[in-house]
Amino acid sequence: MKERDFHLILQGILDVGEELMVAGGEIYRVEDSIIRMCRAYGAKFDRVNVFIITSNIQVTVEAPDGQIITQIRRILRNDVNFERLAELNDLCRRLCAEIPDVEVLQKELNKVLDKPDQSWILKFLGGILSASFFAIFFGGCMEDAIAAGIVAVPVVLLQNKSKLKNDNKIVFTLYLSLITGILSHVIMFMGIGNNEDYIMIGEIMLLIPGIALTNSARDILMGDTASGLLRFADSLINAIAIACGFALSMLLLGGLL
Amino acid sequence: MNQIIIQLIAASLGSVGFALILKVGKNLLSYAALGGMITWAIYLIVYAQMPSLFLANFVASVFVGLYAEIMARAKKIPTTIFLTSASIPLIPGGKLYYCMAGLVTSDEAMFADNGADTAIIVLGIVVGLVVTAIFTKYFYKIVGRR
Repeated sequence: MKERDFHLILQGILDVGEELMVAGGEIYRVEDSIIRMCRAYGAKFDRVNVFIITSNIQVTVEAPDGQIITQIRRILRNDVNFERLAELNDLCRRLCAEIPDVEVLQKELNKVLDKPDQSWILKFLGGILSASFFAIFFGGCMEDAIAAGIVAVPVVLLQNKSKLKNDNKIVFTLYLSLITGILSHVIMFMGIGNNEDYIMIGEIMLLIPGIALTNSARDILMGDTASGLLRFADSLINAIAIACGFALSMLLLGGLL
Repeated sequence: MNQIIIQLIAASLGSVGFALILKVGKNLLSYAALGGMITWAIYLIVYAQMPSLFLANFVASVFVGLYAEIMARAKKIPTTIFLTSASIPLIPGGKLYYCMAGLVTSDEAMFADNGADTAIIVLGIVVGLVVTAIFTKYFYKIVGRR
């Protein structure tokens, strides 16, 4: 095995770890993957320390030549993509088995990342299916489902396209749920749908951080208390922002329309 | 009975919608549909026997956990993917809405009842998931794989 620069190797490993986090990997999975990759590349077995709290990965390893290396990676993106997560997981396994050079590692990683994003048709289809079938699921009728499906289209568009998204998450959630609430009222006013309750519940299911909430509670109970609490607070604030947004729309338009 | 069938179909297709939002690969959509439907069926069965929100959500989420672990091993794909797409019908969107509606209309009883229900449901789901996670961990340790 020729001499390798472990700084670059660790950077490559962290690139993979970062993408795992961004795609929606659980804390313990990412930690485990990073540890496995470091060991596969020859770091001293019991000298691999990885610690992750939601937006920060830190690793200290002892390289094969005795150097002690620390790297920190700040993660500010969040783009859940389970298909990519599965592929990255495969990539981790392959890397551990084959231990390729850093250039090959980066090339393989880019191959996964360069896959085209989900088409708009599927994005809209996902939003429409969830909103309308959960409107029915919680007790709505066919008309409510149609109304919820129609409102889901602009919601998906805003979720993906709005420039506010990257500024402040809470303000964005508030704005998004206010608009959604207003749209739900408007569509009722136009005569589509019978119960605005069920239409709004359908839309809320699209916005709700239910998955984040359950994941965070699971993190806490599984021992990742710090990350769990951070994510828990995050999703709670989000839920409150959603409630405020919808409540505002009800107060604004409830009497009017 | 009709109502139940409609709910099961809605749960199933709603889960598919969520699987699309979470960008699960196309080849796994049918597993989301199946998982969502069985999860809700189990919830309904348990709730019909013993009307307790906690228990029904707990048992249903134990199923979700086992389903996800088994599927993840069979398909060699991270557990979260199956876990999230199958647990969607349990998420208390309705309760949360009525909780908020109670807040807006200053109906404090409605707010408190639905708020407490939401917390109980989330707790039930989480405890169920943790129980399965710990169980499978030790199961494979004892059996000797991994």
